[in-house]
Amino acid sequence: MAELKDGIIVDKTVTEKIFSKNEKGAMDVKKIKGIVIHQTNSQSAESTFNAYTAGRYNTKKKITEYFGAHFLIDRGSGTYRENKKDKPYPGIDGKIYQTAHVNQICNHAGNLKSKLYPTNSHSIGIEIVGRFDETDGYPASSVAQVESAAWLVATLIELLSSIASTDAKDDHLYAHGDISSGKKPSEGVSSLEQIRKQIEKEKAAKEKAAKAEGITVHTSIPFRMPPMAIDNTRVIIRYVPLHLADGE
Amino acid sequence: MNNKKLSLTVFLTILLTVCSVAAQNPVPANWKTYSGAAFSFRYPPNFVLKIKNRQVQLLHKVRFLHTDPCDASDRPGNLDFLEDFNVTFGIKQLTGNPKTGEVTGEDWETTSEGLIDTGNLQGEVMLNTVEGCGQYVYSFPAKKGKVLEIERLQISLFNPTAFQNGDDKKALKLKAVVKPAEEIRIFKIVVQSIKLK
Repeated sequence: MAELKDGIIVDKTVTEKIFSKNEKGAMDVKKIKGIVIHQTNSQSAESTFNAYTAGRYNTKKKITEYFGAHFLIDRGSGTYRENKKDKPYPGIDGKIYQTAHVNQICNHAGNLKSKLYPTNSHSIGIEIVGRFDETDGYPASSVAQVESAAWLVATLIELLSSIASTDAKDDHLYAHGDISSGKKPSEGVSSLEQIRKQIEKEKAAKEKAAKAEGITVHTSIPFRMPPMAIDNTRVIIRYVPLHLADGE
Repeated sequence: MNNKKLSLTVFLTILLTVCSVAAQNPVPANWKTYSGAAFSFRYPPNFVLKIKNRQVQLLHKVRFLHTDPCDASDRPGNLDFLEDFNVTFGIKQLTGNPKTGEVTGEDWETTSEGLIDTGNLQGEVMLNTVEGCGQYVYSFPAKKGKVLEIERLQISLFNPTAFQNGDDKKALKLKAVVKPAEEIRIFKIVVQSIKLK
């Protein structure tokens, strides 16, 4: 069972690799309202780690600035070379790195399309390694990445009760490309769809197992999917907390 | 018959030579020359050369007010200039166990060992990036166990995965701007003109 200790998720699944320069100040975890799914446009975790370390020189302010998300999920598609004499290796598919404390603000979301979306001060960012292609856009995430992301999302929702306790009209998950005003709209969109499907799949499997045992067990994902609501442009999957769905 | 074969051989040799010269992008006659203690290279006359801390920076920029494409804060700031070419050269000592990161052969001929071959140099190129904000790092073996390291910034405003805010389309209409295809073309000519000393 994962625990939250001083902003770090303590679990064997998560590797701590904090980039403190990406942390912009204290964030009240009770005010976190959502999780934003990003894609790196790199082929490996190391590529992005190196970019986190290097930062970016701001020619106007004449300082180096840093930005990044709280977590990063590797893909295993890179050509990372540890030592010049070594053969390149691809990284570990689905490996979860925690790159910032969850009680720290990270600049990851940028300018938002609407005030309804959670800002940097109210959101957790998850980067998923994936290389953008001019023709095909961002790639679908790998199976291992999706499983890791689904676990991480469920764990964050459990550990950060503020997310689950906010208005239950949505599942509090956002694709960066959907909410940012300056981004290509595809970033994180297909990955988020995959993650939602995985969450549903795991929830259904747990419910089935519980039913077979004849006991009532609340799943680790505290949401139940009601009928889908449809707006003008796309299907939005909405969740409500179990206790509301059950009418308790 | 033998004469025909000879003519064909001569023709093919000339054709290959012409193609080879064309592929190496000859340096335009009006380009300037940088010549330092460890290396020299050619560069366009309208580019700015800065030398600081034993590093040589080759820069081109145009005045263009735009949103910083790498600012992911809630209220992104503006930049007054668009740097559309930003490359830094430096000679560095190879350390015992260097971390080299992600290796990529992007935009270059690669050898069977996964190295890039620029025509005059063989080495590595790595891309260190997040969401269109990062840099390519090229390293080529130099003398005395050192490497020539070249850092080439990604021009984030023209990267479709950075925060473009539509500014990229406006910038591409500017006459003085170095467009993405031109940026890599110029960079390749500069690299191919490098002479290590």
